[in-house]
Amino acid sequence: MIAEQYGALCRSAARDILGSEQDAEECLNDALLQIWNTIPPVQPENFCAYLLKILRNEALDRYKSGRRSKRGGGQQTAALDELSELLPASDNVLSELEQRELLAAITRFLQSLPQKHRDLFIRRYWRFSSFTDLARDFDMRENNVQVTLSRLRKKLKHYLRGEGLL
Amino acid sequence: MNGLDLAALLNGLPDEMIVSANTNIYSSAESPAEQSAAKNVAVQPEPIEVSAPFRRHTPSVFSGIVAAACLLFAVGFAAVMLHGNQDDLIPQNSQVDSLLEEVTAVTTSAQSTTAAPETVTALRTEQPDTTAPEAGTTLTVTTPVTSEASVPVETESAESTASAEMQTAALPPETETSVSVTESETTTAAATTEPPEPHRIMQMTSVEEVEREGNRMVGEYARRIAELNGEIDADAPRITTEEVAQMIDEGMEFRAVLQRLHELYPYPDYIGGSGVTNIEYWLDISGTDFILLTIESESVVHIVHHSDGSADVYDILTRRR
Repeated sequence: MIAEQYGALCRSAARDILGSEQDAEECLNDALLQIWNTIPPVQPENFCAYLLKILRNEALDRYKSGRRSKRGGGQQTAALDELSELLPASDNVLSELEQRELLAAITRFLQSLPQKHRDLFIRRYWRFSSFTDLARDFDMRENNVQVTLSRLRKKLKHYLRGEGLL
Repeated sequence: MNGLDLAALLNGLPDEMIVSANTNIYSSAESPAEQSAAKNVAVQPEPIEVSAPFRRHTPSVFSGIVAAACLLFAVGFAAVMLHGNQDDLIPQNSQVDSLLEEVTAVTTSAQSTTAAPETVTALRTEQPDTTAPEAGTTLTVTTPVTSEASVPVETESAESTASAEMQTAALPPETETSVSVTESETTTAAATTEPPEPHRIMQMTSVEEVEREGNRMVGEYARRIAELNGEIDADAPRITTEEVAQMIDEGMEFRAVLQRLHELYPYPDYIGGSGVTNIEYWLDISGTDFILLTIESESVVHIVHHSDGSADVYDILTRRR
């Protein structure tokens, strides 16, 4: 039932992150198994978001483990490089509290954006969608997508600096 | 922190943001293929097979039908204007109104039906708490009195022992010997120890303030909200490390520990997190010494934050295995 209702969305998200149909399918199966193991006692308020988050965690784990280098890929690395630009190069591991502060600031920043820009940012840096896909889904030209995202990154960096987090 | 860490951190964005970004559609068609398909449909309408005689007479037949329809419409309109009574229209409008009311009623009941699943958590505990403001929130809905009453006496004494042991560590050497002998002596020792500095959440006195802070920290301070709502006492028992360690000693796996803690302490001090679901049970009001359960990694750790910014982390689950 979950697969019927959310399967298409999840496959699409996993494919964006992993760049491969086969990896996406395996990732989705693992995510569904994980959900099976955690519910109950965990009862998410928003099941769709809960499913997507678990799926993404699974996909990022696969990415870290280097499986993605065998098949597909490319978009994740590019998007991650773009994200790296936001932060100063450092090997320091942020504490849980610092991570929460940073996430809270990013959330506030995103909430201040127009809906379309917010969705664009999340699709690129949460789901790692390609510029081509974003241009199609947001009815924009690829060049416009790149420029918009670049401006959003600059704005976010400026915002985080203002909050004393960079 | 690198890009990958930041990407992982983004998993903690609010649910509605993630869902809307993944489901909102800004383009008219799903894909270029569908767009071109749509164009093809518009440019090349599907041909209609008609017989030759009909085709030959089609223009005159159609024009005749159209003319007759127009004529009938004009006649009907004129008849209504000349002989129709406006009062006849009123019942129709009232019918529409009543229909709208019915639809509204159905919609309202549908909304209340939609809200029903939010009480699932409460039903699961067989103690539904319909007055809880956020019944659907994970791990926040049970009847605290029942849970506290269900704590066995042995557990309470274990708590006292555990707290005594923890206080022992903080006490100067001369008081150490007097503690850990009997319970009464422990109480005396505790009375002479300075109470911990309350966490700023514990100093907040309005639910809105705590909720706002919870939103800011991407989670919820469930226990403090329950305290302010009068659902539990401010001095309701807190978890101890000994309790958790005992559960693990008994061979309970992560999920069983999680379930057991949920039964004993239905209101964790904090639940939420960045990219993962963290559940914090503070050992005291300071919030610097707490048990942290992380659902995704199935970890149970004891964290002590020190005033100099450093922290000690003990992996209870691993240590006990």
